[in-house]
Amino acid sequence: MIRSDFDALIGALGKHILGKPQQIKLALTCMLAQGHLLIEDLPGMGKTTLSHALARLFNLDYSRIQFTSDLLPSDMLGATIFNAQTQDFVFRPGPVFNQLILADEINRASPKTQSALLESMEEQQVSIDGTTYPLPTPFFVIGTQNPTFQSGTYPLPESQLDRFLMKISLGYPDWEAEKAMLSDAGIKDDTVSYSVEQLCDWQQRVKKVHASDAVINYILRLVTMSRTTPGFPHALSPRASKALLQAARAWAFIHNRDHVLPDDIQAVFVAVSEHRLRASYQDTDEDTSFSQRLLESVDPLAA
Amino acid sequence: MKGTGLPVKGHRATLILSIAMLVLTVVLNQPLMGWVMLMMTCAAVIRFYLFRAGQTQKLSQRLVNLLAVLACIALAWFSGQQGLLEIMVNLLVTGCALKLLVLRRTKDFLQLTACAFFLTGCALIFEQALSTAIVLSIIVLLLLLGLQQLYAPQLAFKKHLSANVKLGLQALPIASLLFLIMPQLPPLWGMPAGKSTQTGLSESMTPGDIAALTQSTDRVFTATFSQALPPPQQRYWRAMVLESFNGNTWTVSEYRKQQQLLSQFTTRTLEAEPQGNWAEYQLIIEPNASKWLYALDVSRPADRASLTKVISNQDYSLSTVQPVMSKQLFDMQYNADAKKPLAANGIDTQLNLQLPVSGKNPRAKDWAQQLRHRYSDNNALVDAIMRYFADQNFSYTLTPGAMPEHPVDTFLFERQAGFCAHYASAMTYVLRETGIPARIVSGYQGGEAITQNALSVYQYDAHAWVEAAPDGKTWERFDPTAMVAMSRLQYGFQQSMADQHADMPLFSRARARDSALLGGLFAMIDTVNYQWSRWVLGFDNERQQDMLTDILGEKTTTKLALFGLAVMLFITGLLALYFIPKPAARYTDEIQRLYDSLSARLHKLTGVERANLSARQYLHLLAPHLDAQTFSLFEQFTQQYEKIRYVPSGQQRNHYARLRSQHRILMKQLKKGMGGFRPSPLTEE
Repeated sequence: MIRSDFDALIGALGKHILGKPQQIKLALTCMLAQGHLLIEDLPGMGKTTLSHALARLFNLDYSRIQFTSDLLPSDMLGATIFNAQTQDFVFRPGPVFNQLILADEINRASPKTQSALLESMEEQQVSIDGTTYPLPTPFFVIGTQNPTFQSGTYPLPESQLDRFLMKISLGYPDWEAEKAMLSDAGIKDDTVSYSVEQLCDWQQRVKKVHASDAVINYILRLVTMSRTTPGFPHALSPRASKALLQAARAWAFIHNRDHVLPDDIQAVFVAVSEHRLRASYQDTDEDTSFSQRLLESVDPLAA
Repeated sequence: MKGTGLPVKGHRATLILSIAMLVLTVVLNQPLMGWVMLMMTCAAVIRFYLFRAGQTQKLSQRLVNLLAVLACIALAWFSGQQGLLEIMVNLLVTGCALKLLVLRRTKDFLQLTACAFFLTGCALIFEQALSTAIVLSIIVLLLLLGLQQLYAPQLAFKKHLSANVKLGLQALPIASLLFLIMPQLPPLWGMPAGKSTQTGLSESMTPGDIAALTQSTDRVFTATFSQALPPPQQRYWRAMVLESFNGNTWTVSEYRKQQQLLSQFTTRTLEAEPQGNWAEYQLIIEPNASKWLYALDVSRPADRASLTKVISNQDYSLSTVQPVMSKQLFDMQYNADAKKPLAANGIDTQLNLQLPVSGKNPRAKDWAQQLRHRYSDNNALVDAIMRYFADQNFSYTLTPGAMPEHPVDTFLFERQAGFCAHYASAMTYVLRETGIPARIVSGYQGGEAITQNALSVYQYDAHAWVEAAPDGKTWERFDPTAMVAMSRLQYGFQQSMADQHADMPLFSRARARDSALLGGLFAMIDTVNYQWSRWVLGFDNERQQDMLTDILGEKTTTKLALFGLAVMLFITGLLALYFIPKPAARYTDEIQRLYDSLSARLHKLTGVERANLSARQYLHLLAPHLDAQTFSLFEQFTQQYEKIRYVPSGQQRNHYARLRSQHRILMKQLKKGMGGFRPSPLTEE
């Protein structure tokens, strides 16, 4: 049964990241919606742990790319090398040819490298020396970035932030969770595990979740509000409304429903739209949340 | 750190603010010093450049601080030459220019905008012409646009503009109504007088020193007559009387100045019902920072409001209690036939026979003695002097050259060319030598009819003439200039100077006379400006009272209170018209209607509003407020609603029917169980 599947799954993940069920659900939603995830947080908050856990859970090929300011696109995508034995050029695929990539500290790399990764995310293929190499399916990138106010960062431009389906941040765990983490460190339950095929199947089924006119109208009202009301530095693009629907479908799916409710949209709305609404030059620690304001001013029920 | 940084390149809000600041600086050109204007221009240009190129390397804070220090030193240096008000405006503009250079955060932007609004108000101190008012309104519009652009950069510029114009149009009727009805309070503080702003006639006249008279085309005042205009020969506008002479310079006598000061503190009363033929007129004086008023002979204030502002001096001149710092309106009346008797205490004779003891102007003195011998009758003597000007080869010129030594002699017997001051000075001097009391009156002569019954007088109409008392009892006006340049008096200054046009600036009013188009344009602008000053700037407390009397008839407290109430209600009505939300559009959707009617009902009963919650969230929110039966009914209803709305294949005929019947049952239940509800925790207290 799907229901028990997801409960077990979320429970298993929750053993790795304690006290963060909402973020775990969002990450899973993002994966099922075939989008990419951006995690913004301070170092040491469990970004890497979460991606490790996800990879292990679905038995995905996993690689971690540590972004630094001197990382070149070829370091990541791979390069064509001369093989002296066969007197031939062979392509050596880089770490990007994996099913789950952890692009760690993505905003430490130079813009050139950043855009190389984001391009492969969008196209799901890599072109080197005129040859196109498809990336594996499923292909899921978890980018992590440090808050932009930290030194040595190149903030991702708005156009590239848009490529990430969701942006979440984990935040500090609460007292109980951290205490539990410190006392049973190392005890992890890896009995729950799923195949890659299962994941692909779910991804296909997410696409079939029903979104009624009322739900689509609600999404349209939200994005229109952001375009016509003063006070929003960036309006939501059609790409954003597509992402919103996709994420809401996945959210409905992991809650064992075959149709989307306005509540699903509300649940994913902040994660999907906040990084698109906020101008890159604005500090993220500001207290007014643009997406929260949108949610509060749009009636989910009107026909 | 709080407050968000602003982008530099392509930030349209900053560009709009810079433009507004630049235009404002140009409007404020009168009080501003050249280098301050230059600084603002530089700041705006740098902003334009940053807008286009987005150079991230901005001016360093250190450099701007240095500039600020230098600017402060310069301001302090120049503060002696300017009035307090001007220096303060300069200081504010300098500050704005520097801030514009280092504009980094939203906070800075808001500060600058607030300063710009304040400066817009300040600009009205210096100029109140209609054109200025229009430009200032545009600046306000620009500033508002900048604010909108700051807060909603994603919206189209056109949208901002239309929103702005709409707001303006909405505010307009309310503003005009308040302007007409609100009681006008007197100013709370006086405006410091600027040193540089005093314009017009000066209190001393040294004809010999002036080599060439420059003519300004600034308007001095406008007079509106209730009856016909006075004939050109009577248009002598008296400003001040110069009675003290030291051989070179004529000044207002110290005695008169003291009297004037004293009479400020004495109570003035309107004279009893006027004798003779008094005609009413209204003066609109342009700001000139002086206290002298311009009036026809013999004038006096016509009503109580003007009486409080005007002092009637013993020498028949009029002055104001406060210097005229902004356009002001005075209601006057004049009687052309009134006599001007000398003061009974002999002070007039004493002052006006005074002559310097120096041995200056000996030839004029001799000539006076000869005249005295020849004519025993004073009137004949005065005629002889007037004739002398006509018979000899005297000419009228604006460029007579300087006459430093024995100015009267040089003028009378050598040059024989000069302008009004020379003629008046020479004649008064000779008359005093012969023992006839005489003095110089300076003021304006003539005026240009801008409407049927209004005259505008310009700086180039400035004139000086002689007042003498041949019979020792009443003052009479003599104008020696008229003997040589009759046309100057009959047709005004313009006509008589036709041959001297070459000296005029290209686009002057004087030149405009030659071209029908330009002339028409000037006349039209004059008329519009005149109406503006008369009806808008001149709308003072008294006119407001008059208007109220016109509307209400006799003013009683009840009537006034009712009127005030009616106006308030009208304004409230207008505001309500704008702010009351439009009635919601009729439901096109039956399901939503059912849901909304139910939730409205529940809101009324429990006090819990749905307020943009989803159906499911509202159900949970209501749970503690409903009894079990109602809750389960509402839960079923909500589920049915969600089913139709969101579940595939939910939109079937029987689902609608079911929802409708559930709605009916629930409504009945709500009506029945009115008492069974627990009120919301908020209202429980």
